[in-house]
Amino acid sequence: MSTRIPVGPQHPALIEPEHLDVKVDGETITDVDVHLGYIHRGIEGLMQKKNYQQNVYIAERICGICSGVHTSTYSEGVESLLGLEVPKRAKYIRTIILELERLHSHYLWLGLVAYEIGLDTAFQISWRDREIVLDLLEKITGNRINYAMNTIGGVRRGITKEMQKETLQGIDALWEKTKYYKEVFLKDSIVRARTKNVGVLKKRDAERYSVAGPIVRASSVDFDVRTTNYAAYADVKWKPIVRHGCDINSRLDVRIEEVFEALNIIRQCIENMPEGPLKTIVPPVVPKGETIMRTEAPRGELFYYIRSNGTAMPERVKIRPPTYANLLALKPMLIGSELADLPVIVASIDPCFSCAERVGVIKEGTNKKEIFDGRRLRMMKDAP
Amino acid sequence: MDTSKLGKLSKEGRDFRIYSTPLKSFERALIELLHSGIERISTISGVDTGKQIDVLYHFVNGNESITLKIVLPRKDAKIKTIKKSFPGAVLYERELSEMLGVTVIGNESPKNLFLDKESPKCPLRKSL
Repeated sequence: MSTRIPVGPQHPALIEPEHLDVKVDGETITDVDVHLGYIHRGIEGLMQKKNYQQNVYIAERICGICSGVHTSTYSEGVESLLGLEVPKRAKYIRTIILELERLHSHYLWLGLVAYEIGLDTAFQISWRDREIVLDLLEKITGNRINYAMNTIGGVRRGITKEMQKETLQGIDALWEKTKYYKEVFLKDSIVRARTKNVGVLKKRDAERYSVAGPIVRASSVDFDVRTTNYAAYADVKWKPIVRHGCDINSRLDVRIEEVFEALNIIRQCIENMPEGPLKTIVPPVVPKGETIMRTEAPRGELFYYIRSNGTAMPERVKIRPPTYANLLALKPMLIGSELADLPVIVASIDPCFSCAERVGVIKEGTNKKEIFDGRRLRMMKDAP
Repeated sequence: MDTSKLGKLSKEGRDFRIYSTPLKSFERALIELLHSGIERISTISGVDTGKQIDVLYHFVNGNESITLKIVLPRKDAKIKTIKKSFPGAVLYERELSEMLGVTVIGNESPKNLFLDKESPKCPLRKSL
């Protein structure tokens, strides 16, 4: 006999809303259905009503973790519509910010996985070390998140010699700490027991469902969009990390190795940073046309399609963030798994949604719960 | 790959190509992609130009993005699902019908993927 268990939308496995309708037979998951939309903010529609420059700020606010990659992708897309060549120094700075962002996203994820398998110390240590990256980002850009570094035509700030030195010191410290994580996450018998052969996504399924990012690379598929050589990736030595275990342990391995790669890329960009302007002159009118821009966000392929009709505002900006592509992988990963492994499997795709949209109020003195939906809240706002 | 089967090349960029594919040869173009070993789909974009609806299927071939652009009428826009050949497209097709009111034959769903029940219907249509 099968039982239905609703998981979420209140923070299943992580502090973001999604709803999983899980069917179980005993302890084994037999089917799962994912419900989304708790935080849909209509950003694509909004972008059609703002000009190209304003949209940089909207793109920045799509995601709190990977805000830099959204503005990079959007800006590079508009630059390709304009036929602009960005100064080399700006490309290097963009690459540094993108890789610092990958670092803090991966540290955050390592902490989440540790937390889900009950290793609270590893969770705290990895989030403590993530602060090193966030401090560097704050010193370079002025903000821990939403860095506001990118603009159409280049970047808004440079990286001073002192900051370059400080970043190199931070990288050296993180290199040592990541070596320790590698020991803990890949060799510890408890972590291995909770992650080996858990949440298996076979290579064939990963290919068929068009899954992206570290998940697909942990399933033997060599797919990393950085090979398309956007930003300054053509100028640095790096290699995509591919593993063959297809399970959560492989995803840990991929992400930890990617941390080393990111540290290497940042070091090369700082050591070979060219001199020159930060930004090029941007023509006032974006000509009619369309473009596609793809980048490798920390969670996988980020896709932008931008169409211009020659006016001040884009005709269409279509955005496909990586979690949207990776959701389909949940089904093959969860079916056949133990219910107790559900949190760590859901966390293993590193899902990224955003804030909630409804308000529930329990009236004082009674136990009656009232749900205030969007329409009622609007009515309350308009009432005298 | 025989690119003539994909349609007329309408735009080429650093790492992407966009082909204008007539609706009647859409299936032939998909078969050509599958025969060339392409099964990764990035997403599906829909654009309401005010005169027509452009549906763009973005596939990935190595380092390159290959896009097939199909033009549909604004009134009674219909297209067949591709989810059997490209299972990764299942959510993108649902988003397309939710945001632009394009009927995807074979992938209709009574439930919305993103929008609330009381949200305006087809918010990316020009009339809004």
